[in-house]
Amino acid sequence: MTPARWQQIKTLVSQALDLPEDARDAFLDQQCATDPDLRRQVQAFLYPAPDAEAFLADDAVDDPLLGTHIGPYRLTRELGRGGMGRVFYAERDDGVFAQHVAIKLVKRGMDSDEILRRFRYERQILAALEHPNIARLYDGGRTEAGQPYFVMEYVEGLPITDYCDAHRLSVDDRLALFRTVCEAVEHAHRNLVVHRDLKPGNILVTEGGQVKLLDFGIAKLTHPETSGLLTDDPAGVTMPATRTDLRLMTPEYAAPEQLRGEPVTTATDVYQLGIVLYELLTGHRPFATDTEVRAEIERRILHTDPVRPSRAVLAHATSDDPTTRPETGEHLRRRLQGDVDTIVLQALRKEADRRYGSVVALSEDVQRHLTGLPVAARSAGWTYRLGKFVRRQRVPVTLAAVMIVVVAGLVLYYTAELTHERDVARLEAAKASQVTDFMVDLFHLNDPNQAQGDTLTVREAMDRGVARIEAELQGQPEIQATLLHAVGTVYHYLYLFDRAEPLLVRALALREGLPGVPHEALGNTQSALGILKLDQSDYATADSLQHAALATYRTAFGDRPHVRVAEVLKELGRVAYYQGDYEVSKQWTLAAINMGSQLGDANLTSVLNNDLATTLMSLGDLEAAVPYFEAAIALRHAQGDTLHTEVAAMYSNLGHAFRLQQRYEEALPWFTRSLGISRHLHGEEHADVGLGTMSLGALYHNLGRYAEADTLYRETQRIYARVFGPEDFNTAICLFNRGRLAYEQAQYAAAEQHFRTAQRLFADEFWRPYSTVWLGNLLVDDGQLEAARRQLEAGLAGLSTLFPADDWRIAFGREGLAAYHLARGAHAEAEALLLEAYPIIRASRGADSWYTRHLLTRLVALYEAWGNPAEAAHYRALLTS
Amino acid sequence: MATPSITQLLIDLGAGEAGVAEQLVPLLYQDLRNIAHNHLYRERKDHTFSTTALVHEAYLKVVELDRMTWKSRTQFFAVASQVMRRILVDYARKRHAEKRGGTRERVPLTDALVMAETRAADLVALDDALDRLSRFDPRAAQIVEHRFFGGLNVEETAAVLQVSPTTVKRDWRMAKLWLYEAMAPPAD
Repeated sequence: MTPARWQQIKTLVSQALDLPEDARDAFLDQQCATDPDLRRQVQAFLYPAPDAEAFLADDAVDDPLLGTHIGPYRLTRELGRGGMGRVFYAERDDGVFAQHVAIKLVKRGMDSDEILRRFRYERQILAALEHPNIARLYDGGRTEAGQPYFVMEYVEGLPITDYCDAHRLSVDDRLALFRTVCEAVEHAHRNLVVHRDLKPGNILVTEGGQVKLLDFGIAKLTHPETSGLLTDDPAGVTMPATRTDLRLMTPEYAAPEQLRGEPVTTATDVYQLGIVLYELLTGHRPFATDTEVRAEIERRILHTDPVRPSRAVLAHATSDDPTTRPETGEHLRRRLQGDVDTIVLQALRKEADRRYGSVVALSEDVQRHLTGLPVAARSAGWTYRLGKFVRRQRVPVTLAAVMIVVVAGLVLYYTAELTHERDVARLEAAKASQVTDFMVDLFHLNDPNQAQGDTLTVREAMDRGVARIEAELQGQPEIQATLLHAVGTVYHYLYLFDRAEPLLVRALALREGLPGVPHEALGNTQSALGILKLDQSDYATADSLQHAALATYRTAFGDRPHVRVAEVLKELGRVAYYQGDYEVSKQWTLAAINMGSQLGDANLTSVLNNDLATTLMSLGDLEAAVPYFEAAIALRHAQGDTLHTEVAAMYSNLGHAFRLQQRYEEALPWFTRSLGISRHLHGEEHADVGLGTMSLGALYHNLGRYAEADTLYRETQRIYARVFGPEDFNTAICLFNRGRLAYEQAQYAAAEQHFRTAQRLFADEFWRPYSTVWLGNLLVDDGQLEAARRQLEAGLAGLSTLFPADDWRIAFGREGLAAYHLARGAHAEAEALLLEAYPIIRASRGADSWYTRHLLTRLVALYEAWGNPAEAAHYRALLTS
Repeated sequence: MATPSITQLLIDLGAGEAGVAEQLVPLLYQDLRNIAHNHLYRERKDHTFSTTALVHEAYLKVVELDRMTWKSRTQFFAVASQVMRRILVDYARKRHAEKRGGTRERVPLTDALVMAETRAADLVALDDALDRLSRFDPRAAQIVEHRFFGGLNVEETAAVLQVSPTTVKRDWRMAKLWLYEAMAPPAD
């Protein structure tokens, strides 16, 4: 084949393909009249043999959806498809930053309005599901074609079953990995999200061994009927599931209650975890081993008991493959017999209330087995009964409802239980801490700025609960204290300090009145009240409470490292910080870091590194702060956290550490990334985004990139005016920066306007005089001498109450006064002031800074006006060097 | 895990600097070969893993994602497809030599990675046929290389070669049919 001949064939094929089929013959007759060979070759390419068309598989890569955009994301390949729709790998390509996500596109024909309505309703809860083992749901919406979609964290990994086989994990290793899965599910349950479609395909393990659960909450959004957390109908009527919806589920993993159309609860997830565990251990699923007939699988799920894992492994070859598991045959059977059988079957009970009462209970039993303790599979404890109580209540499980149920339930439980089983209840009181954590986490994870809608009802629920705690638990101080502590902490997280305080104070008094050795719980209440006091700016009380908590914990735990102790050390560091005792703060925080890393608590250690770095910055040790910020960031990155408000804050902090060292180029990527994350998480109008644009604007300002700085400052002002209001302090800071930017570009009229507005808005003892000094300097340069003098004198009077005489801000004000004298011809006064200010400004602001150059310009002007060309030349040389 | 030099080279390549691709190939060869070997030599239970997935895995492993742009990403896949072709065909030749006589039935060539494992002879034949194709239509041969060995889709291939997606589709179809004929078993 020659290139020319090939081109000829290609062109003719292409032209012919563009023609209607019945016109092609005539076209070829005409084109190939003298060359029958050519005609035959073209013909062969036009009408190939069917298997030649399919010769190189390409259908997957020619999907019309590939390459299209959803929001800023571009679909680049398909990851999978199922009953509900298709999942694509997508990346952000708007140049803001590289980000890779999975996008689930809901199938046409499903009720998209309903799905989106539910998504809006659930969004806050789902967005709050932050856990290193749960793939995040970032966003959702509707495509231009009207299809609902969800943007999720992209996870590259194998289904947990395949991962275990590929790495030939032992039973112990499989059980340990399974516990990680349980922790993630438990975290979701505490946030009121039930997965309801747990299966190996939704539980991936990355090559690095990190477990990631996919699709949390998605099943509910698309099929609430199959279902659910109880329905959102306030009358408490639960809708039966329709069979059509069930068709979309994976039948092998469906729980009996799902098939029966009964409400889905956390117990459904326990069941599905049981199936996953069964499959991990035996290599196959309990009900779908030898049939794919749906009706038969459903019948077995509903009516037959699963074969015990230890027996099942003998019956199937998949359990006996030494390439996938070290234990096989009789060895494996003996390993599973007993404990493991009991645990798996307990999770797989047909009646939801005979399973483990919670995922924690399941997970703890696995742990007990791993450490050789007897498993508790059959004991029905406190949490089990409370779980049952919660499930019995056919009320909407919204935030508020759970609060009512939990608070009312606890009170009911204790009242009833104490009458009959006084002693048992006392023992069980410790377990109330589980419920406490449950409630507290619930609010902690919901940003109070966003939870406004639910706040009122929650408050009502809690007010009612508090009244009952006081009235109905008289004479039970330990339990009263637990509940008051819990509700007080929730009020605290809701920023209702005044309501929180009496409850925590009362809880503390109750606990202090208890006989016996100080208990961990006392320390918890001391510390909680201490944190509240810090938020109320009562530093002395906060400090003594945290010290008291530390002493309590030392009694309770001795010298061993404990996360509670690390937390208190952190709080002591924060109290010292807010009191301005940075050296003390540094010591506490270092102690906390030391303990945090001994405990291996990466999140805490990350927060502490960030705290320490902030403290070092306040101590003026900017250079030392950098590695701690970097460590804080690296710890979060190592957990796969990149899109998080705290990470954005750390990026920004590191940016500031660089900026204040005048390492502007190094600061730039951190500010940019921080802003990118904030925009991604919050959209355009959010305080964090405003802070991001402001910081980045200030950096461009420092870099002398005025146009970019101006755009960002304007953007900030627009955001702040919307978020905080046009007269707010933050807006004033932004105006002040705009004033400085205009001043540095000699746009005096604009600068004056910005400074004057900012000055009017500033009410505090620093910003008002500081902005006044700037306005004064500007007015001198603009020739408004008397107005300038008044401003400068007023500003300097204010600043001198705050700073020593050799502070650079005071020097800057005195420079303004010098310029005023110079303009009046009082050269000697001007010279004295300028020569005094010059070394201060130069040392503090840097020889290259705008400030130093501005002052040098004045010195040159002075000596020129005073007829001293030698001095003028000296300073001019400094200016141009 | 991240190899900064690869990332930087990709960025430079995206910026149009000369001679960068030549530096990238040996660097990527090492990384891609390690990853490919993981999949080729470990007897995997499932054969669902594809070349596309492999190259994507390599992408995630060897570059610093937060420095990559869409353009540098595409550059990666373009270079990776050449490298993958060499790795897989080398592997297939070795395997082919071990087990004389491959299958000569005319089944679709689904995925280069799977082929390297199971149908080494066909992959070697495809490699030879591609060389011949490149003599009279180098662009069509590159398109096959990018799509079949690199897992690039039509649009990505178009971006790399700086032609329209329509051209890619047209050339792809032509090349495919020509290869089908060229790889036909000898008439006997």
